[in-house]
Amino acid sequence: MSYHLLTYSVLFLPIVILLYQLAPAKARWVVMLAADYTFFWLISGKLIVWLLAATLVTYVTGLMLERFGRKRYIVLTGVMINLFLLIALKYIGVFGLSFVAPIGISYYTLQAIAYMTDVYRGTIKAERKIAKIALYLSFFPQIMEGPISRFSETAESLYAGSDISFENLVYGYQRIIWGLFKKMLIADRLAPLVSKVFSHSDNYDGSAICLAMLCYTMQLYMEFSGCMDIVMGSGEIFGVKLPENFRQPFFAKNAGDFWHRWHITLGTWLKDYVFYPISLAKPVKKLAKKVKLKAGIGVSKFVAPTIALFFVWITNGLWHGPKETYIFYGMYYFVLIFIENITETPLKKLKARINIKEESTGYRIFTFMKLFLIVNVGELFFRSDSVKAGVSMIRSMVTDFHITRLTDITLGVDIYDMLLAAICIILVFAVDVIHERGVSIREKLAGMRLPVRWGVWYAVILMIVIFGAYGAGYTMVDMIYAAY
Amino acid sequence: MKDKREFYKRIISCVGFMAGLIVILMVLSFVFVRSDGAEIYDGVSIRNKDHEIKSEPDNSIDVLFLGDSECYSSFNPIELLDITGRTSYVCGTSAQRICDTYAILNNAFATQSPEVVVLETNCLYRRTKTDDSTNDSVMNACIKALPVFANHSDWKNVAAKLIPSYGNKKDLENRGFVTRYGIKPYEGGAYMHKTDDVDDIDENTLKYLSLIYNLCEKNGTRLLLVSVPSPKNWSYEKHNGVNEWATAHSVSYLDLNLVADVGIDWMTDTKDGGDHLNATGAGKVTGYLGEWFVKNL
Repeated sequence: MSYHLLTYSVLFLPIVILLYQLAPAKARWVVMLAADYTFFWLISGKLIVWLLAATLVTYVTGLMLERFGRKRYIVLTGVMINLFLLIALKYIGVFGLSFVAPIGISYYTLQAIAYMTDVYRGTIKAERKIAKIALYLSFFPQIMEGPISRFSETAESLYAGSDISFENLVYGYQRIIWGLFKKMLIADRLAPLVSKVFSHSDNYDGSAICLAMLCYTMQLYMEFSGCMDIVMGSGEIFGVKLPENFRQPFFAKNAGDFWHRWHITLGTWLKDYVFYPISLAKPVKKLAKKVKLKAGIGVSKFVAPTIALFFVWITNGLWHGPKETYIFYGMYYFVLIFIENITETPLKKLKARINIKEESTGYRIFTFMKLFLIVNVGELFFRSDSVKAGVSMIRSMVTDFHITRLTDITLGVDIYDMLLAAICIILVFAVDVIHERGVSIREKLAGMRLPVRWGVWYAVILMIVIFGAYGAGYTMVDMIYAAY
Repeated sequence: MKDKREFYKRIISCVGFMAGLIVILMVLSFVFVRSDGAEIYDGVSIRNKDHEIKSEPDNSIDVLFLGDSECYSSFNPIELLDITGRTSYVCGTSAQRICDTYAILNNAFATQSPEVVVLETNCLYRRTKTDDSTNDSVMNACIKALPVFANHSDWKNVAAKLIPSYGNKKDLENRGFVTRYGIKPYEGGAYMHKTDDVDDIDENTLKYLSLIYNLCEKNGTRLLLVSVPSPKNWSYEKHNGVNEWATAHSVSYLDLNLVADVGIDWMTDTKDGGDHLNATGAGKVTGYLGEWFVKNL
């Protein structure tokens, strides 16, 4: 079972919607929880025991914080137990043993930690109903790939048992269809080329590697954001407003801004539960004071944020898995964002001095190209088998780039698939441009006459049916971020 | 009252949309149905090979090679011509399914009368069903029920008429052989461990194998099964499976994984650690096969 399968959107989801709506309002949370655990059973089977364990630990920790006061040792115990489960199940393979981690453990563990920490901080009250904790941690649309939500964002609406409104049903399914478009027409279409080149990169020259790098970035964006559309649409149907995970990331001004638009909920989680605690920690503040005395405020103002940023990016890397390329990926962005932070003020002065207007078209194109390059190089390392392989691929692109060779090699995807992917990518980016301007296409369409509305959605569905990368000649591709 | 009217209006709207969609899909299914009911996996490859063969003068090819990437990595038509004086063409394509092998061969017989058809056997162990090729049971049901789902990639036939594209130049110059010069040794040791166990060939493959056999018989062409050396793909169990069929049908079968005389050196003759041969390995296989042709044809 997976979100991109028709079995999910045409069978599982409608059954859940029907049972949910038919149930009395007070019992709807039971239907939802049953659906959550059924879905989890379908994806991870008996490993549901770890989700149940995490739920119990999280619930008990919250209650103990309320009962015995907000003591640090209580929250640390709860957090450590959940972290131990995550590390033991996900990372133990590194040490020679092997366990199987349930799908979604990286996501629900972060949610559990967020809940316990928020109760400790007094931001929210401990929840007495275990059902709410269970619903919050196991909500089936978000269990596989997030988004990572906070208890205050979703718990009440999950438990409330509100009627499914017609508008939510329609809007939700529209978003699901758009997600399937991105996944099936673009992401899955590019997957064979990416797999072929990245797994045998020494057989290809720089031009093929460059193409594979660009295709991987598009594959990842279309798949992850497409799955988020399916997830958000599913949540919307039940009146659960999940936090957005993407906000037109390629329109970011720099690497730092990119991470405010890409996998947003992971970024905000790291900000709230890693960055702030570390930057406000006494030892860090003490160090910053010492540096201020020796080197002045101009240098010391970077100490706490830089140390905190380091831990944010190490955590980001390790969260993806115990692989050197993920850690390299984290450090790559750490260095880039650190450089952006320390050069922000001098660059602003320089731009003012030489009269560069940030709103000018030329500067915007330069910013876009710079960011596009940064993101693609980062994703190349993210996808590579090793850092060494990644370096070798970069070297190939610089020293062995022969674009004419592209016609001489088989890349696992024919020219028709490439052209179609390119057209669909342009279409998705056109939609992103409209969204960046604050226009909701769904709402605009909802205001149009029926033949236009139905025509547009029929066209999108038929594009998926006719041009989708499924069936004979294609290989179904599992969701990338479900593996983390 | 007003609420009830609104409720029924919405139900009708939903049902209407779904009904309209089903009607459109059924109408499109008439467009996407294949007149010959052919089971095709990769229409683009079939079309490309058909174009390549039809670009050759009629009845000019003595040997046709069929199969997947093991085929196009291992048989060198230029070298075979030098050794035997026989012309050949490699119709191997990436991950070729046996249904596509049959389609390519059927098209080839329209303009060619080869003396021998060499079928590389790795494709006999590739899953062939085109209607359950996803792990999505609802999608599989749609594929079974409506031709627009089953044959949706036929849109490429229309695209090919607008933008013709027929494989890459270098491979065409080498008559379908793909030259690879890289070396990545295979160091896993012996891989053909004698056993009586049999890796059965699936029913659908056997069906197409019989169709290929009958097609060769009908055209007076000798069918020869060849397993090229490949530690990553081949095993004694598969050898037994193919040998069983070949013996039952009196078809010659050369398993080069068991022939030391081919002289494959796994430290130098493979481009990817024992999956495919490189140009040197292909030279040795082609040399051995050429000599076999000289002695046996």
